[in-house]
Amino acid sequence: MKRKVLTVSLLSVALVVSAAACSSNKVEQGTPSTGTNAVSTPQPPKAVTLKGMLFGDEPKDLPIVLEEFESRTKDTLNTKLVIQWNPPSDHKQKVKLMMAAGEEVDFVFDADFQNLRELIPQGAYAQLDKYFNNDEYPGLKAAFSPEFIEMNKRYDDHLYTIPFTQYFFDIPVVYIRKDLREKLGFSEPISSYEELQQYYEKVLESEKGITPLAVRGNGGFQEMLAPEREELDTVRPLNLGGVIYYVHLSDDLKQVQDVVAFGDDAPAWAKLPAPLDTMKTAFAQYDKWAEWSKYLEKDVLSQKDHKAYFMSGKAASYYGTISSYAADKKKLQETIADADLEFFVLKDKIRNMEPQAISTSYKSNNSIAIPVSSKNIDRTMKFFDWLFQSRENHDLFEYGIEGKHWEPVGENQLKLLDESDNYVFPGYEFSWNPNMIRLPADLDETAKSYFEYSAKEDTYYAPVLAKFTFDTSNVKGEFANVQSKADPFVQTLKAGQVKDWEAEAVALNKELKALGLDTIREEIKTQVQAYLDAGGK
Amino acid sequence: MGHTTASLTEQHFPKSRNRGKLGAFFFELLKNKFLYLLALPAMIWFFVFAYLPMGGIVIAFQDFKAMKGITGSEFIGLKNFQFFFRSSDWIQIVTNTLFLNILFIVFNTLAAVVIAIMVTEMGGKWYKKITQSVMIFPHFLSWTVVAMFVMAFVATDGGFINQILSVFGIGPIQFLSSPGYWPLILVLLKIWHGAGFGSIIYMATISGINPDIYESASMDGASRFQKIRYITLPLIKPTVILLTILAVGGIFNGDFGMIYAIIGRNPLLYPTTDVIDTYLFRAMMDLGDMSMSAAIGFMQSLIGFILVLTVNYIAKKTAPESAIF
Repeated sequence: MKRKVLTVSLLSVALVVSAAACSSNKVEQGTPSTGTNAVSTPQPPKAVTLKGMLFGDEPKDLPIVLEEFESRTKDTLNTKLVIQWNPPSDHKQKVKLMMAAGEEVDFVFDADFQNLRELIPQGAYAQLDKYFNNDEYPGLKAAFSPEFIEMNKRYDDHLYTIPFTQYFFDIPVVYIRKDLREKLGFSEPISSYEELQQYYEKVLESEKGITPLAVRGNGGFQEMLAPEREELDTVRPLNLGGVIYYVHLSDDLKQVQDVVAFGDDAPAWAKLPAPLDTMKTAFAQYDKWAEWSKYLEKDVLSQKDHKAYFMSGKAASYYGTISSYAADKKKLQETIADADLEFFVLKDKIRNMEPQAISTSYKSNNSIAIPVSSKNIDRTMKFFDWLFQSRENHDLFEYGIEGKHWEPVGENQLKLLDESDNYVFPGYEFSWNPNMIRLPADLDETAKSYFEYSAKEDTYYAPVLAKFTFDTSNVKGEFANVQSKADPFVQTLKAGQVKDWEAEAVALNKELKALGLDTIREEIKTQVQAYLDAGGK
Repeated sequence: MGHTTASLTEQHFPKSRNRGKLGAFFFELLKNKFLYLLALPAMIWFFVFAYLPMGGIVIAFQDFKAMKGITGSEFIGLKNFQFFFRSSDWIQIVTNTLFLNILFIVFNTLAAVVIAIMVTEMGGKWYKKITQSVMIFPHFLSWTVVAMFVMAFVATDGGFINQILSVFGIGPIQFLSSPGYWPLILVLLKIWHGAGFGSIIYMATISGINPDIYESASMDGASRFQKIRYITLPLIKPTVILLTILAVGGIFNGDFGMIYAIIGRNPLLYPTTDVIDTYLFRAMMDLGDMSMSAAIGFMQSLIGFILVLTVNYIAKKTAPESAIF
């Protein structure tokens, strides 16, 4: 018996040596082995099945894509993916319950709007710092710049997510019915708020039954008419639970001086440098909103789907962001014959494509996290490394099978084929990356140039306190009370329904103080100071 | 001496009664063992899915953290309940919840009973069947779909109602910014949506009434209306009371599915339509705190439970045959 064991082990040593020799030969020749002779190839890693949780509808052709993936990587990754698709409304609770139950999952979609802020401090997710900027993971190294990784670290300044984004900012625009604009005698595209207002006046005057501007009831004017001014390093806005707080820092950016909240009295605002020293100037757009509310629907606060309202031909323009341009244009043209869509970029600096025009925290809104309980963390990261190693790998998941669902056009464009309807993959949950964007080939030139502009690193800058995130856990009760009280007012304000907003804001502020506004203010002060003391910028 | 005897009997008596009770319990079990065996699956189901999960109530008193689980999270007593009662709007919100639910219960029951009686009084088999189906149908429409119809009706520009009003020269009513109309609108919708379906049980009850009673009434010369008044109504009274008691259990739970779908996030309508569930949804939107939500949910159930006991007690006093227990 013993002798047998010895023979076997000797034999295997010999085999390993010869296998090593063979494989080094093979590598030199550069031809991957086909695996018919197991002895002469590098052993593929042990088969593993990675379980993941995403949300939304499973793409119909996902099995075909997974099959293709498995056949491509049998000898390198030897990995199978099993993805559970949760309904969007349940995903948040399901992830939480799965954690509580200790169920094993290898990757889950999580983000700030889901459980991330809560689960990271509880130690639910693995630190992923070491996998990035690491030569053993060349795909991740190439696709995720050190700055991108740095800005997505959170909580105790470690990385807990694989961040997904295409652009660091989705440019806000007003989409305009091009055909209507021309019909009303405006031969050139709208290029300023003055022209936009003239267009709206003309619509009111001559197009009965058409609303000039459609916005969503709980979004209102959002970025519209916001004053464009130089950002001040010493005064940073924080929007928490519907209330805007201005954090006033000392000139060396080391000390928090005050925290001024929306609706505070005049002396509190006077402490801030101009033009933020009065509410009237700090929020100059609010007067404009009240004035422009005549361009909105009468029942605007009940509008749940302003885009559908526009698409049915009832509005002359609508508020949106540039990312949906291609899809919206297609939809409009399918719904209304002869209609066409164009957009007006709200901010001057962005409209003129100036460098350093957009402030961003570089934080992606979407990401995947890996539960610490996973036994396959390395293997999961190897998978994502593979995904970002080449466009070929990446595009397989994001767009499907080449020649079946889509075909490439040039280096960074694509054309969707008829079968693409069977493979609509939510890239933002799994595969988006600024370096791997493909634009639709039939997109018009203006739109293309704005997309390229928003993909450029030079377009962005990180303002002071960009990385700061507020932790609500010490002031949960106050936060909930303040939010539920402020929310109805903020919503009516954003829809331009509050004329004397200054007086009402002061009154609201008094009520919020009774609900714990000052407790939150103190907590902000403490947390920002701690952030600065720890060397945060 | 007499004292000792008294204390002896006192000690003795409860014991023997206890034993007797226990004995009777086992005797009853043994006697009807097959019946109990038949009920066993349902009892197990209730135990596992309705009684065991009640242990989860404990998270309403904890600072629940998913990673620490129910056993590891910190116990913080009543703190989770505070935030709701500290909000300045809670009285308004509770009033709205109760007011709307009372309206719903009263008018839905009335409408269901009326429909049930009308349908049973109808002749013509086909006509009856079709009417019944038409009235039950709305129950199967989701509130989201209904909400879209409602918007088409009440919109200020081009809404159906305002178009009709404009024919008579009545200037547009801005329903979507006038909270006063909404209790009425919601009650009408609730009746349209649920009364037809709710009438099924009453129809079943009415069809269970012995036809001999009606026949003898007819022979005594009772009119149709008299038969309804003196036979049908008294005989379905227990069912009405029973269903009302059950409905009262949920009186503290706002109908989130309905109200959020129709009102959505229109703050102008909150004064009459914001109920506990919609308020909680908004307050917890960013926090997503399980413990605080569980606390309010627990409070709603507890008050519902107390109300069921109270209404049942009243029912027992006034109409013993219709009380549940």
